[in-house]
Amino acid sequence: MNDKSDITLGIDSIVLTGIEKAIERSSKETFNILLGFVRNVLQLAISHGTIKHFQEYIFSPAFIYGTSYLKARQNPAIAYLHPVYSKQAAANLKEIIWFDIGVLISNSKNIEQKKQLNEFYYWAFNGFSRLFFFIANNGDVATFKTAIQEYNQIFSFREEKYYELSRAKLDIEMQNPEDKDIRLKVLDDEIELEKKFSEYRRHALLGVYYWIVFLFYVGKINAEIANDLLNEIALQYNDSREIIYDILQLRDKSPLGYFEWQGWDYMERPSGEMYHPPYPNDWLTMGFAAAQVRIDNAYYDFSGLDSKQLKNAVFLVDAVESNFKIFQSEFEKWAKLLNVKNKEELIKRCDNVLHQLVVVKRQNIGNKEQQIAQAPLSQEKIDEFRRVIGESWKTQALVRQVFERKNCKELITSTEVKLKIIGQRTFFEKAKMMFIEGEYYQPIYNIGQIGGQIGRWEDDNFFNTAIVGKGDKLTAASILVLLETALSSLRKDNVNPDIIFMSPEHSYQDHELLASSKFVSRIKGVDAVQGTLGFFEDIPIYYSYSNFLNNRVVVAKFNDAFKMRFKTDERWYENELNVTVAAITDEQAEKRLREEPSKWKITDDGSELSDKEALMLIKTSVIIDLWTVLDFQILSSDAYTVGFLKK
Amino acid sequence: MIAVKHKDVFDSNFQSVKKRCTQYFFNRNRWWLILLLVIIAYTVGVSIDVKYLNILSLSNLSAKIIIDQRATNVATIISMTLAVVGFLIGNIAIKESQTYKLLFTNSKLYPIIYFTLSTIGSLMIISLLRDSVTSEFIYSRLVITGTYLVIVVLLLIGYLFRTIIHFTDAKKIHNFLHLEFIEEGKRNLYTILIEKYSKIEYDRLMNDKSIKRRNFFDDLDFNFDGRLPLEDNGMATELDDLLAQDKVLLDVNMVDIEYYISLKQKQGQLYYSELQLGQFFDAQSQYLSCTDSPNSKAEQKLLRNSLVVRKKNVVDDPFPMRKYFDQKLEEYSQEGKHKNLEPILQSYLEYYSLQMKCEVKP
Repeated sequence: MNDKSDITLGIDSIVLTGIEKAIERSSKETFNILLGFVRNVLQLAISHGTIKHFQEYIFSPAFIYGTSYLKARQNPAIAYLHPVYSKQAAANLKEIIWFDIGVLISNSKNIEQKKQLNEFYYWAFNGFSRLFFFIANNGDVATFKTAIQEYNQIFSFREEKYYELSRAKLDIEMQNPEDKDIRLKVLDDEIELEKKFSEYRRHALLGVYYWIVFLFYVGKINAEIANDLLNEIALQYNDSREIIYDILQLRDKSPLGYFEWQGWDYMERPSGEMYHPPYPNDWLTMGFAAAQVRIDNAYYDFSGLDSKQLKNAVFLVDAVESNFKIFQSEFEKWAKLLNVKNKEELIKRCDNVLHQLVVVKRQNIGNKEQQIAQAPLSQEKIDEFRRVIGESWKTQALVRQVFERKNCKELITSTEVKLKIIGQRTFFEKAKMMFIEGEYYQPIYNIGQIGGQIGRWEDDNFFNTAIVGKGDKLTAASILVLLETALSSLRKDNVNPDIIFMSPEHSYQDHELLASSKFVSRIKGVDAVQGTLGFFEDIPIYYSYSNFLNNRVVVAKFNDAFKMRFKTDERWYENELNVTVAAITDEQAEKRLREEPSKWKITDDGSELSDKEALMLIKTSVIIDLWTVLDFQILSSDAYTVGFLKK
Repeated sequence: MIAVKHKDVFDSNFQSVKKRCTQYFFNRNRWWLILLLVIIAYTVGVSIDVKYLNILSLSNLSAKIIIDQRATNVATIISMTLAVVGFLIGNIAIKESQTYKLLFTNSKLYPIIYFTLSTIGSLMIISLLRDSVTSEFIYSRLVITGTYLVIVVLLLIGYLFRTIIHFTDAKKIHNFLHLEFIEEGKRNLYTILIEKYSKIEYDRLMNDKSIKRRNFFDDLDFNFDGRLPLEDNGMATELDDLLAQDKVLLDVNMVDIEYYISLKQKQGQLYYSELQLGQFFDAQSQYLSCTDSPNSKAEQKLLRNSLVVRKKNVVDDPFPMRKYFDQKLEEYSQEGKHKNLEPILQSYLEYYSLQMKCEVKP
């Protein structure tokens, strides 16, 4: 009462204590009067639309059951009243839903008011859910039967309403009257309300079903009781889509406190220790998995799910699969609950369920790919891609750097002179996601490497030119000898070499070279030029990762020996590297499908896509052009030599 | 506004004024008021002399004889009354402090006894004055007025018996308790509503004036000194310290606040802290502030003076009846007295309905 926001604060707990006392003293009259009061307050709250007071009292029936169960165990003399109290608890909840809210909602013409009343439905079902939870925890099969009977009575009168509304909607759509939109809007609102109602109804029951499975799993109840309880629950769906839709909803909403499942626990926890009640997502999924095996008539319809739900469905399938593994590994324990005779049957049932469920994985991919295929390319993403590729290219194009440093490049502007295109046009499968904005944008890590590849190809091209132009003229068994021979042979022809090319590994692996006084390694802290490994007889040694340089050395008087010719374009990265990204056109896609139908139409899990889906899949790819335009010329083959290391 | 929005729960202005006056008048500490009333009656009786109202003529001699008899009459009546009242009170149906309290208030026992005693006292004095008052007119008038007062005493005693008799019936007692309970609920609800609406109104005003609410994160921004009381601004802290102790907000002068806003709004964006009546509230000179110019001493004073604060009253329990009802509910359900339970639950239901009717939806 110190909180001054509500004058009625605290009355509920006194009333509940009163009820407890009445049960303890088996004073039926007092109990009835107090229960009557609870019901009156609930009715009052409904008519005034104050959900707060409704919440205060709606769990009273569950409380009554719990107290009555406990007192009956403590004092067998009053146990005879337990069924009476329990029945009353359930009957009251039923009447609240059926009459107290139901009558008001069906008399109401105002949709806003109806929505508000629907909120009361949620809480009333929550009250039922709590009652079931208590009963299940106690493994009280007899009471569960009565309570479920009461619960089942609520529905018959509601179901018809839903179909009636759906029919009315269809009529309007067929007749197409002038005020179609307005009337449809009204009907849609009404249908939405009905849908919510049946959702609450199903979800309360599903929650209990899955909880019972979990209680069995943790050993709180045995298989017999669990079976008895589960057999009472008839899971009915109006629509096959609801099976998947429901479990996705439950998993999605339970962390937000839906039906207060977060607080459900099966044991008294020791005080003073940290603990957490079981995570609803875990036991809901386990329950779902068990139910699918138990019922064994799996048919799942994934249509109508939005992209988020489809994504979640993939997680669900994985979670179900891991639960199936639990069932199979503890076959003895689960056999009775899951209604299977032998392990083979269990495996067969699990596989059957999984086989249907995995469809969603593909469907999810389909949906995602549709989004990607339709999205426009983002110039921002392409620019970023160009930058990354360019940087990587620059660091790897080592020979080009040497040409720049030695200043023996020639820019070709004439279109008549044809140079080599070094690089490639790539049909990059499923890479469009890198170049779009939005939910499905996904970077590909280390994509920059393909830029570095261009640099290496340039190097390859250079060394290839050099080797072809000269042949492996010199050979030696060690790199030191090879270098000495190469230098002396050039000097003999009055060529004064000023550059050596060599693979980098020799500079740290070849002990002979390292021991030689002629070689000064860069590692030794010499002020070496960038891109060099050090000096041999004061001649800088440049390196490249080109495969052509493996076990070879190229020694030259560089400016006399080679020239690089190249072309530029101002649209290219630093005018020298062309990077373009293009989406796949319809014609291109169709062409590819014609060329390789099986590649596109058969998915990883063996199912077959339609032409339309396959085309969509193709269109998640992009065409990437990456190249430079250049060639290397040998100015004088006397000005260099190539040595080969014979091992 | 509350009276308009929640018509079905609260009384009109006229009724509430009437109720408050009655409460004031019949309070057991207002003996002097009754005495004053008796004196006024005598004064009026002596001073007004309208011919056609003078239906009774009384000779001086008869007056002197009658006065003694009246005094004796009243003394007898009062002793008899007290004895009977004492007996009745001893036999009321529910012997509890709450019912006694209710009995005393409802039967107006205190004012009636005060009135009777004042009357006896006045008659004694008149009897003493029989030879001192020389004017025959005045003396006979005193005696006549005294006699009228005695008649009024008789009527009041009749009223007293009538009400006390009700208290021998448990049902009637419950009715009284119920009314009192609901009345208490309404009182407390009124306070709650005033507090709630005060916040709504204040926020609305700030919204209309496009003043931003200062939130916790703004206060963390220590560079933004305009929104925090400044350290060197000694007066602010001094004033606030002095006033912050256990004080609750009682009233806000909106006119002054609007004046402040009109002054400061030209100087920059204004920020406000929440205000709600009945809440503890510190920083009384800084609940409105401007980013660009800190409040001057005069402005702080203006802000401070726009608030009426009162020391939190911890002694008065605002829910004595609720506590009584809670206690009864526990007791009856414990003892299984289901018949007694029913009327109590009925009262609770009305209590709930009161609260539900007055839910303020944000």
